[in-house]
Amino acid sequence: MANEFLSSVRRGFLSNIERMSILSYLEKNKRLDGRSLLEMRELRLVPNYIEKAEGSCFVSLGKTKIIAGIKVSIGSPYPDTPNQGAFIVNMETMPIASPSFELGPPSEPGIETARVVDRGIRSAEFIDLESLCIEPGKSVYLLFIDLYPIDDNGNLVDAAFYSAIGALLTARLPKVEIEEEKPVLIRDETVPLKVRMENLPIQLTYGKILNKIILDPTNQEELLIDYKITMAIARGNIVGIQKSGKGAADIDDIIFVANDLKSRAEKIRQNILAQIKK
Amino acid sequence: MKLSREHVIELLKEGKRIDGRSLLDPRPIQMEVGVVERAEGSAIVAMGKTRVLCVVRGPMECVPSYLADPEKAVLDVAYRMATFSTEERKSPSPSRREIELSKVIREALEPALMLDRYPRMMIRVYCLVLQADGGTRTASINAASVALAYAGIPMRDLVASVAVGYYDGRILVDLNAAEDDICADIPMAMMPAYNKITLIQADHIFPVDKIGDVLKVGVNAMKKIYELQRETLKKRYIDIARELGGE
Amino acid sequence: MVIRLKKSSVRIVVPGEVIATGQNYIVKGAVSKGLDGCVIANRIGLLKIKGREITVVPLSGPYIPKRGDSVIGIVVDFSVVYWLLEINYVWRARLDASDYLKRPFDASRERITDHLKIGEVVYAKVAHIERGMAPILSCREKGYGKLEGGRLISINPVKIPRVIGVKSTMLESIKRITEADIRVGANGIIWVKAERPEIEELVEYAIKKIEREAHIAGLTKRIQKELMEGMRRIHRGK
Repeated sequence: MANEFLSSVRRGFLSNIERMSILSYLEKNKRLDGRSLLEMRELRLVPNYIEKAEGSCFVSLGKTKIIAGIKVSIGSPYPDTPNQGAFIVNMETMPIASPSFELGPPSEPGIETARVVDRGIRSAEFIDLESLCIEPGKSVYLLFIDLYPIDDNGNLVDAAFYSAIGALLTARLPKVEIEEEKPVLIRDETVPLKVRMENLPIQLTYGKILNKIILDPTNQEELLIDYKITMAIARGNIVGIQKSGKGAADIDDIIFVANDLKSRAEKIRQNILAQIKK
Repeated sequence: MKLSREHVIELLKEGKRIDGRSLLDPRPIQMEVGVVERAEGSAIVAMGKTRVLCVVRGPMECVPSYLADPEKAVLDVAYRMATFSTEERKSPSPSRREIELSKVIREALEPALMLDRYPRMMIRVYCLVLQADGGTRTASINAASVALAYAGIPMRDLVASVAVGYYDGRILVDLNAAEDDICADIPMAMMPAYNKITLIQADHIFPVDKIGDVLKVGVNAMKKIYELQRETLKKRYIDIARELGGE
Repeated sequence: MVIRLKKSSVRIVVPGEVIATGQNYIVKGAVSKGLDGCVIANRIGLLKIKGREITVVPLSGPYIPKRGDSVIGIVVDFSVVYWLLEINYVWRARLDASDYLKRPFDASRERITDHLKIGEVVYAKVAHIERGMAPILSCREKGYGKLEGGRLISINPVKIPRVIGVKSTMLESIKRITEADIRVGANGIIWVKAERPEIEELVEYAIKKIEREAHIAGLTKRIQKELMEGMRRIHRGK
C-alpha cells in the first residue's frame, strides 16, 4: 500500500539519511528501485480508455499514471493558416495525483508540462493539420487534448507526452455535414484522425544528480535532482528541448542526452505501436 | 447509436429500456479501491458507461486555517467533470452545477463520517468524472464512501447511492443520460445500517402519492449497491482473510 | 447474537457492519455502538472475538500520536528555542532545545542550528499531545536523540506493532541475528544501521515482508529463518 509515498514524498523533501541512501546507491550506478542509471520504467498504453471521447489513452510509466482525452469541435482557422485545423494541449492539475496540486486553474508545473508536450507534437508536424480543414478560410476541426494526471510517481511530463501520442494515434474524427450553410458534427460516423507516422516524436526526460545522469526519475529522485532535460526527437531531428530546475546544465550533458535519446527512439516507437495495435 | 427522445419514451411506455434492462435493474457496476497509490484513499466506480475516480486526502491540516473547527474535522468535497467526459467538451473551470453537486455530495457523506475524531483537521474528497452517462453524483458518492473507508477514516456506515426515475406511472432504477432527460430524476443516498437518507433531490415532475414507492424502490437498489461496496473493500484484504482461515 | 466465528479464526469487517446485538460486550478498537446498542465496526479491520470481548484491529488509517509513543522525526523548521519535526502526522511536532540538550539553552549565546540542522533525523518520545494541536517531543530518556547514517524504512503505521512483536520478540530476533542497530517509530518510520549496506537491505526486506504478512501465523519463525539464510549468504559471498 501507499506508504513509501506517504512518507518522504508527501513531505516534499528528503531527510539527510534518505539523501545519503540514494547517493550511495548512485555511486555504485544503481537506483533505489533496482534500475540502472539509464533504464526507463515500464511504459503501458491503454488507448480508447474513454469511449465517449474522440480519442483517449491511459498511460502508466512505472507507477505514474495519467489519462489523455481528445474532444473535437468546429471553429474558425487562425488567419495566417486558413487551410489548417488547430490543436491545443492542456493539463489540469487537480489534487488527485499529488498533494502539491491545488484545486483551481492549472498551476505552473501543469502549464509547463502541457506546453512542452504540445511543442514536441507541433514541431514534429505529427498531426496532419491540412486534413483538419473543412471549408478553407472558414471552418476547421479544433482538437482539444486534455491531460489529467492520476498518480504522480515522477516524470509526469513523459507520461503526459505518451498519453497524448496514444490518444492521437487512435483518435477518430466525427464526420461533418453542412446543414443550413453551417458545418455540423455527425458524431455517429467517424474517420480516423490523420497523423504522419514517419514524424512520430519520441520524448524522454533525464535528470542530473551530482555527476550522474539518470533517465526517467521517480519523484523521490526529483527531490535530489539539480536539473532535468526533456528532449523530443522525430525522424532524426530534435523537435523539442526543455531544461527545467534550479541548477545550471553542463553542455556535455545536453549532447549526451541527445545521443542517448537518438539511440533509444526506435525501440520506444516500436513498443508504442505494438501496444496501440492490441 | 443515437436514439431519439421519442424512441426512449416509446420503450418506456412498454416497460422497456434502451439497453435492454428491466425497470428495476441497475446498470452493471464495477468498483475498485486503492487505484491511486499516493493518496490515502481512492476508488474508481463505473455504473454502466458512467465512470468516476474519487481520491481522498487526509486528515490534513485545515487550509485555510480560519475554516478549522476546534471540535471536528472539516470535510471538503470537490466534484469536477473531465473535459472529455461529456459529448461536447466541458470547460475545465467549475460550473454552477459542479459547485452545487460538490455541496450535495459533501452533505450526503458527512452524516456517515465520525469527524469529531479529528478536530481542527480537514479531509478532502475529490471526485473526477471520467465519463458521464447519467448518475455521476451517485457514482461519486459510491466511490467516495469506499475511498474514505479505505483511507481508514472512522465511519458510522458506508453510503450507497442511486438515481431513481419516474415516467408515466413507471418507476426505474439507475437512469442513464438519455433517461434522466425524460424522466423525473430522483437521486438518493442512504446509510443502510441506520435506514437513513443522506441525499435526496428531484427534478421534473411526478405525483405526490408516488413518493413512498419511489423511496421503496430506491432503498432496495441502494442496499444491493451497499453489498457490492462491502465486497469491494473486503476483497482488497482477501489474502489476509484467507491466510487466517476466514472467508 | 454475535457473528459466528470459528474459535481461532478472524474476519475482515467494514464500516457499518453489525458485529453483535445486545449488551454486555467489552469492545476494543474500531467499533462503536449503533442502533439499539448493537456493536458496529467503524473502520476496515480484523475482527477478533474472545468470549465477550470484541476487538476490531484497524487495517489502515492515519498515524495519530499518543503520549509515550517513540517516533522518528525529521527536522523541517526551527525557531529561536525549538525545532519543528515532521513525524507523519497532520501537524509538525515541537522539540525544545533545552530538552534535546538536557540543559538550559541560552539563545543569546548559542544558535539552535549548531545542534540540529534541517533534514537531520531524531528518535524522540511523544511527551505531550492534545487533540487538534502539535505534539511535544522529548529526547531526555536514554537511547533517544539524533540518528546518523544507516537508512530509513517507511511502512504502514498500523503494522508497527507486528514489527515489534508480542513482548518485543520479533524486533529482538531481527536485532540478534543481524547485529544491527534498529529504532522503530510508532509513526511508521524505522531506522536501521548495520555493519554493511547488504545487512541493512536484508533488514528492509524482512520488515517489508512483515508488513505484507503481518497477520499470518508463524511469521516470527519464518522471518528468523530468512534472516539467518540472508546473513549466511552475505558472509559467504560479498
